[in-house]
Amino acid sequence: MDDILISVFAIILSVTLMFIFPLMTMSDRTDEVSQLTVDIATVEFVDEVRKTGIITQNQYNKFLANLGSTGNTYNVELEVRIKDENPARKMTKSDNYDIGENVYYSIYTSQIMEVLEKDEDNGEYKLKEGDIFSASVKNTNQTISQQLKNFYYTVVGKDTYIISASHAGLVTATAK
Amino acid sequence: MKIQTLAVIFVIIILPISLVFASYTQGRVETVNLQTRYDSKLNDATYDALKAYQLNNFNSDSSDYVNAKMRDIKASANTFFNSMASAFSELGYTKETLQNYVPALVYAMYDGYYIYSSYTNTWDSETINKHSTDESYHNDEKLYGIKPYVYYSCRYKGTNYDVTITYSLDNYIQIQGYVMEGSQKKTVSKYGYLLNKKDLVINGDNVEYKGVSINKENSLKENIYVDGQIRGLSYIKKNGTKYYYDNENGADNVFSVINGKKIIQNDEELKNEIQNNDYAQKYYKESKDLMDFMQNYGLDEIKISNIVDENGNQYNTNDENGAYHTSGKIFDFDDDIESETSNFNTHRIEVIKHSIERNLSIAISNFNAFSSFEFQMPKLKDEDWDKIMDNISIISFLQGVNIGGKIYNGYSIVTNTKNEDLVMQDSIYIKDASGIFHRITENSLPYQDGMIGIYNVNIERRTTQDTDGSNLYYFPVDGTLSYNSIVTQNNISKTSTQTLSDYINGLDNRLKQIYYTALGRERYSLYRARLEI
Repeated sequence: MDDILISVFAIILSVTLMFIFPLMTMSDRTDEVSQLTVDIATVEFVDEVRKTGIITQNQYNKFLANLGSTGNTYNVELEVRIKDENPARKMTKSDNYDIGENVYYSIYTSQIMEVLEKDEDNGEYKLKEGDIFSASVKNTNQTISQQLKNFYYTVVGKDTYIISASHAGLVTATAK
Repeated sequence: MKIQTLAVIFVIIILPISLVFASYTQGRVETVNLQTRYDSKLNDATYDALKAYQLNNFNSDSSDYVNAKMRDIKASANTFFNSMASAFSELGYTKETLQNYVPALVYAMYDGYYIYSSYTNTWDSETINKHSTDESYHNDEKLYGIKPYVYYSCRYKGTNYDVTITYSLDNYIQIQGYVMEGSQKKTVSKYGYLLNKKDLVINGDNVEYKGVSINKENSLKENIYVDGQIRGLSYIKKNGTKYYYDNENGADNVFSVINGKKIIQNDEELKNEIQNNDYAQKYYKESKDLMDFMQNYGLDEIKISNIVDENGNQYNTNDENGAYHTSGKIFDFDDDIESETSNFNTHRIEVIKHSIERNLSIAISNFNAFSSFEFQMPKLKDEDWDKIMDNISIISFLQGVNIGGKIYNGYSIVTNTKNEDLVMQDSIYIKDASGIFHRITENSLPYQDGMIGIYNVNIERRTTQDTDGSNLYYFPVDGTLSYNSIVTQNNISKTSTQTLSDYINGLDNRLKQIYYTALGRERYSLYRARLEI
């Protein structure tokens, strides 16, 4: 009787060790590599926009394709903070000793997409020097490693993501 | 063997493998992360350098002159290294250390470029004898600094001419050398912009370009801080310097301003020019003169087979790896010479590219003599060259930093959008009667009386010092920016495939007139080192 119990236990243990354990390590590695891909794709996309001052439909699609190549689905959020110098320009003559303040207002993903999609093949969103562009990416599906982990211990909450990246910076060129 | 034993053996084998894998992947991830972070840092530092140049360029009264330009560039290069040093401070790099990893900084300017890199300070025997050994500079010393200016130029030799033509980031060229006048050699120095000859009709004082007449202007006014107050005065910009005419409160004089002080000019001609600014007309006339001159002396026949190097050796047109590939006449005035695809523009870009690539690779290979690391010149992509051709830009290189399992090798190109060195086609804004600046491409921009073309540099804020030393700010031209075309470019009607000149051709003639007058005026007003013969 004891033998059978021990055998069953041993088989379960062996299966865990020989199957689940390597699977978990491998899926963790996969996520790490995905994280790397997402990081690089985000930084490259944002830096390209910052250097050229222009968000094109092509660039954006390429960025999405790069993210998609990791086999996960992502939620991409873009934000442009547009510099408005007009309040600073309107200072009166007596204020010459003060620098007027610039104001920023934000444009978000859906508004950018609206402009990009207006022109089917070569939609462009033009920025100017001094604007701030940022992008952040989070995975929306459950990766294998997340599923396996959930099997052992459940991570609760809606926004549980394991792969994420964000990058932002000043736009350095005005779009032509 | 029991199944447990098997499992344990399996774990003993797999565990180390997985650990090694984990640390390997971790290492790769860090390397690649570091690489992207360095790329960003390099880019940011280059932008800081550019911003420093831009600010100095706006706010100095003398920034157009060559030695002042070198001063601005040195300041800008310092900003680059300071910015790099602070970005890398967590790794303990200082400016001096970083210089060992930066083989060159290239400042691609309007008609040539500076390379900021290390060089050997070589003295001749006379200089060596003059200085004692305990002085701060020595013979054969490695210094890090700015090298002499190199022009974007190319030499052409034919039976009737031997000239060097200097190109620029736009259509401006300078011709120096000799042409044959009968059987006599005649030394020449000519300059001007190349425009479409068929669009240009000049008849005495009547100048017409693309069907609109270009007239004199008399209402140009700008704010300037002088003798303790900011005043709005009529002005003219002549060869880079602005001259103001003061006829208020019984005054009647023309002056320029240096450090907030009046420098009175006793020049009646200037006063007349301020009241009747004909620089726009002069721009088109100069262009016509230049093109007539080129045709009269056969310079419009120049082909790439006429190119000779500094030793007089002819360029081999059959060389597939050669730098120049244009076929037919370079300066074909019957053709649309302003078009981006014209022979002239293709050749111009080839000359600039060849010149920068050649000198840059020399600078980088010289750097190897000082460094233990083998530097390599990265190949610049076509998009990079497009950026360089666009406007004044800085190219920075960073190589040899160990980023774990790999040596970093990167470069960054940042292009300027506003500076006083050149007037691009999109540098002209239209100011309407209610004081709002618009881009010419704004959707259905209506013509209004009182509209005027403004150079976009003049709407940037200027900083000056008041008599008590406090900072004072003002805008040369007051007004606000259009939300449709400048703050954002959401409401412009030029499509991305259309060129700006094509777009302007379809506009109201009166708008066209304002635009082309302003473009001509501002281009003619720029500082250009002109050699008059």
